[in-house]
Amino acid sequence: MAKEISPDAVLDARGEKCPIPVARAAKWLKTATPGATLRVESTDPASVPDFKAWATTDQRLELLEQSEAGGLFIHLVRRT
Amino acid sequence: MPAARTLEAIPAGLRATVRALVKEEVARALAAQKERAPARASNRATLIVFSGDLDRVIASLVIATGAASMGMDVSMFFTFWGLSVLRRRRRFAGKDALARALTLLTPNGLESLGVSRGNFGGAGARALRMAMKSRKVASPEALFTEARDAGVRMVACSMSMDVLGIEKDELYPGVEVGGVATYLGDAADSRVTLFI
Repeated sequence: MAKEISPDAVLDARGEKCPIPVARAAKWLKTATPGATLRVESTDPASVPDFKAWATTDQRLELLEQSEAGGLFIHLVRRT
Repeated sequence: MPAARTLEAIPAGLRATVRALVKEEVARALAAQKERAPARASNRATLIVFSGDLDRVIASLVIATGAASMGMDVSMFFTFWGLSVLRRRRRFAGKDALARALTLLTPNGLESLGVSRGNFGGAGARALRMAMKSRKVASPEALFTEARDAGVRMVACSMSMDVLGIEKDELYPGVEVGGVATYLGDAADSRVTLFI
């Protein structure tokens, strides 16, 4: 069973389309302290490859977990 | 007899000295290389917005916002019809006849841009805006604000400003005015460059 991680902050980006989920998470990232975690809730399927690609190119961001349930995409990220 | 080029071919007593010498030489070479080409952690995206078509401008704003969100330094250069995006007002006073005519003929701000296909005198742009709104996509104005808030550098091309009779006080505050070298300076440093 996956370990439940309780994030430091939650971003409700349900209903928002590209590029808003990423832009909102970026605002959090700017002020987040190293090690802080954020749970992003999105209904945009593009957010799955987007957060993956973002974490690959941006050293500040680590993607801890992604999941999908009933059209809701959850991304758990960490400020490195 | 040619000596084998391995450490074992060197008398045991000399090995430590050779090791130290090689290490020293490598360090010296690396330091010299570093001095020649200082490590530039460039992570920039540079976009030229030439078009004043609403659909193309939206694409450029989405890309700029996305790149800035991902931690890239982003520059947008607005030239020719793209300058309309940066316009917050029209001024006729103090311009010659040609500049006044051009001021009247060129769109004033994002709100007055048409789409690249099937605009039908602005109906196409209105339809696109309605479709974006009903699909809950951020409006062009919201995307513009988003890009500015994300720290996107916005530069207006001085030459095309001259040609189209646009002056700095007609642009949003904070917009820089620059030339081709300003663009090339940023572009040369970019991993992503686009002409839209």
